[in-house]
Amino acid sequence: MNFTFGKTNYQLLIAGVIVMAIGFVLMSGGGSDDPNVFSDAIFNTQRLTIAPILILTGLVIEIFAIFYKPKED
Amino acid sequence: MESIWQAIILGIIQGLTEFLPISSSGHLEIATFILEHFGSEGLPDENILMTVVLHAATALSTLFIFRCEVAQIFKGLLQFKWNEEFLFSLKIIISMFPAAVVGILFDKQIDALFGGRILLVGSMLVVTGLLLFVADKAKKTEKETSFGHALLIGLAQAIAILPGISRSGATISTSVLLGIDRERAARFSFLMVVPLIFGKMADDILGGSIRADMATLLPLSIGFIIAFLTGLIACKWMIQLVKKSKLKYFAYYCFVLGTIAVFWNWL
Repeated sequence: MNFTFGKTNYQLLIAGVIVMAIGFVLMSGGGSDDPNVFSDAIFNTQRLTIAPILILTGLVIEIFAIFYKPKED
Repeated sequence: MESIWQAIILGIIQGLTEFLPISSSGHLEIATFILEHFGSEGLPDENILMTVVLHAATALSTLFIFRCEVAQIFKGLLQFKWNEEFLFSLKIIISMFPAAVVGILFDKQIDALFGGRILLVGSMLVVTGLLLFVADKAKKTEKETSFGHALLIGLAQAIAILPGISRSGATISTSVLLGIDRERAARFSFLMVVPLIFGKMADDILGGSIRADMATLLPLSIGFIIAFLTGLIACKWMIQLVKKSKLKYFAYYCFVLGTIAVFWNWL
């Protein structure tokens, strides 16, 4: 099986990293500035659901990029 | 800036120690012991997010190196037949069981038993060296991996949870000593851990046990790329070393470091 890495593979690799980075950005923050005050924002849907799903999606894109076989002309 | 340098160093260490048979956990224990011996506070607490990202990077470099073989396995599996690829996948699953059981049931006990005990860690490094040395001398290595072999290699992986025992060293040495072809042994050793890493990663991310911070985004990305690239080089290098029976150099290194650690304990 021939798996030469082409332009599309590199583009997909970069896309995967970007999706993971967006996931990490969405996961960040939400903590309270005052240690005596609890912030609910740290456990919201964005940080507990959307961000982890985006990070794992980025990982799946990375795996896809490694195995993607560009169509020959 | 400091965190970027830390990410680069951590990326290189993860990339090398995932594949080369020198036990990353053993080195961490020794580094902590030395730092504490000289009055430092030891290594900073483990950053779970960085650990997850670095392990993902080296798992991806394994997939990259073995992409033809892995694609062949999935192609065979999708035929839904009792074929060679299906049997190989079953062997990988069997080999994962011992480490999964030991990791879930005894992780804390192992940490408590070995944490800070440099004598035990040094002794285990000597054991790793012995394994590598004996495996390098093995002559008849032409067998294919059977189900029994897969279970024994899995047991070696479970034992390698002990700090000082190298995972790749233990699994490859066990395979070679069982008479399995050297190249197959290296391939099996590196592929058997990939599902475990991705499973642990998914559990950590979806389980809410990690927290991200905007300030760590750049170090995380740099650590990921460095670990991936270092992993590619180390994986290819290790396959060549196994094929050419040159593991003895790592055996000498483990002997020297392990012996120093054991004697240091008595001083």
